[in-house]
Amino acid sequence: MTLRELKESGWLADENLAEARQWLCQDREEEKRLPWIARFSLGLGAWFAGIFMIAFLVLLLDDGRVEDGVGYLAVGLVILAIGIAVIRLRKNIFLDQLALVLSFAGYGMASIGAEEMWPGYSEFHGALVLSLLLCPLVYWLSGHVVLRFMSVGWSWFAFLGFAFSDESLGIYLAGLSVGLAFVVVALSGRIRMRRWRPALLSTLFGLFTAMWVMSVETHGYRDPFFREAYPAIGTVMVLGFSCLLWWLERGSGTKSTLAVAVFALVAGTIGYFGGPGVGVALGLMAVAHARRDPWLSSIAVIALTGFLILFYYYLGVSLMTKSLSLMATGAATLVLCAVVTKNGKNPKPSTEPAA
Amino acid sequence: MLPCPIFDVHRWVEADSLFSMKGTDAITEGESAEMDRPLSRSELEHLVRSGLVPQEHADRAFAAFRDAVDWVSWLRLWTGAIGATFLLAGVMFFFAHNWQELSPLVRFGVLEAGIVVTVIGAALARFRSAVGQWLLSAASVLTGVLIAVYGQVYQTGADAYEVFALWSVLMLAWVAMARFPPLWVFWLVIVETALMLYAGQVLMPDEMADWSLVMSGMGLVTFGFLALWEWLQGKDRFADFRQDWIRSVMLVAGLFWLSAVLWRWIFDFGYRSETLEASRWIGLALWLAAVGGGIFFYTRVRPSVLGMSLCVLDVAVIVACTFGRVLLEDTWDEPVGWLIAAILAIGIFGGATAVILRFAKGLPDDEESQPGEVV
Repeated sequence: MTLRELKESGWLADENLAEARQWLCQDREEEKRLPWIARFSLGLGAWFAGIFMIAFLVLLLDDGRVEDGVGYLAVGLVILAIGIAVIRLRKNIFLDQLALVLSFAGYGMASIGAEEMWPGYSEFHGALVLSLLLCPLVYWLSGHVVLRFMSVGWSWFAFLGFAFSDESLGIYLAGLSVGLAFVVVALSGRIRMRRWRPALLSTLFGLFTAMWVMSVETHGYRDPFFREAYPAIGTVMVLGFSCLLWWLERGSGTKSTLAVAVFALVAGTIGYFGGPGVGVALGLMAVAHARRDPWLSSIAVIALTGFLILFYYYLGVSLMTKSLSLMATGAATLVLCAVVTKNGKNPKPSTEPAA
Repeated sequence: MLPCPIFDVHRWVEADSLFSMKGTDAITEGESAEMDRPLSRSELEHLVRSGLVPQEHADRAFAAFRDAVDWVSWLRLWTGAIGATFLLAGVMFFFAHNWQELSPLVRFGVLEAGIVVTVIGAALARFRSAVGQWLLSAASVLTGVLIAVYGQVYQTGADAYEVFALWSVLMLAWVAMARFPPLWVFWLVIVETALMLYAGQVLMPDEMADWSLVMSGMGLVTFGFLALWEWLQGKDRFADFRQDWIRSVMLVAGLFWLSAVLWRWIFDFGYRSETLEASRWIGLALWLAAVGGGIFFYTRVRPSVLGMSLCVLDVAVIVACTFGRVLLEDTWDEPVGWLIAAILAIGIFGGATAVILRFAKGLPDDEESQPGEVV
């Protein structure tokens, strides 16, 4: 499906062609202005220098005998505000880098302050509440993709602390549900992707990290709740991605619906019996392909590799069960590969002209 | 087939122009190119939402988009990859679990039968077909398991490096037949594992080398393979290998080995020692040659924004770590040291980003499509 095909089919009027082409070129222009590897460089620099900056501010406040949370919170908010103001200038790359460092340090200081003000909680309640309050503000005010990504990322970072507290598991599950719901809404085409893409990518990283946190054993100990609930959580998430896939492919006929159902069954089974993260990564891979989104594909492939390695080290299933399930799934998948290779043909795109 | 951007940057360039190098004059040409570029669903959604594609045509446009998605190639690739990985992992787990109960005859029988079946299957399916390539990959892994089983049954006393070295030699036939880039990379991993184990089990205990020298050697080997891969890019016979994720993987691995020498140097408490090991200087010289050569090669000889950026970012990380270590050596409990370190880090990474942007914008279109560059 190309712009030319849209035009030739009569679905895109000639008078709209220039505007459509210009809109598509805007992304290229933006990418030309700041390619992804440059954004990565800015983010890496913010992380590096931000840690130095936080250490500087903590030592400075310590020297000034400022030890209460309010002081840290106030300094953090002021620095964050300066960071946002500087990034809105968009003068040059060094100022952008400075702004990102200030924002990172501001978030860090404010989070420390919030934690100081709500003592007795080891689950980052203060930091989570603060980051949830700041996130929409920063998201709307900054307009910079790296800072937008970072603002959502801070919320996920604070949220992940809840995984380590038995008393807060309800909040943890609610957070996962909200994250999944946002991903489903975003990828079903209900929101403007250009604006929400940083939030979507950050949420996907957050969800996969949350699944990783649930699956690992720390010092031979794994929270009993997660031991029981993780497969169910994984299966629900796989089903969420399968529903999304069905939504994207709906209207393609019974064969397509059946294929999505088989996919949901296979990925859900993989998700329930030992590899929830693997199942979810497979779900994202399929959705990414259905949307022709190479970024999401890359995230899914990385997640799949990581969760397969985790499964290798997972001790919750006996080696024999692992072996038999892997061999059976592998053989079935290879048979499917052979069938697809022999018989598979893509349907011809139905781009006949509009009446 | 939908490309993965991180692993396949130049397909990315074609598909999504993420590294579009076009100058202002080329915008018209760029707009024209937009006509034939496959749209993503997000873009189609925008065209419908903004009314550019009228609502009455939306369903048919989305239906056409769905039909244009190539599920067959996607399924062929991923069912092959995942199926082979799962099956082989299952075989290995099976041996691990039933080790005591299996007689040597069964152990060898199953593995050798597996190798014979996979190779015959690959021959029947044609070695260079997708199924054939995955079956040869399976044969390569089973060869390694067979060597490990042989060593354990007969208690040969072989060092681990010998197992990996033998594995890399024996699987070379399957690797050469398959001409399958992931299998070549897997072979390279086995070779490097053998070399690392050899260093750890022979060179280090015999005091023939230290870790810095070993990692320098590993970097040299990896960059040697990268240079070979770059050289083969221009040869039509090796067109199968024109996949740029290989460049990214080898470049990251090579830079990691050489940078590790410097990280040891920077964070080792003896970094100011009067009796510095010569191997560190060798590592430093190789690292300088690698990043300098890499930046030159990927900007002048075979333009690649990702290749150049990886080298520049590696320099930024090493320089920032060095300054941080030196500055905070004696002032770690004083705010001013951290402030200077933060300012320097801002300058270093801001500079790195500026360099990346300058190269990315400065490269003309035609340099992006050198022979062997475009997949």
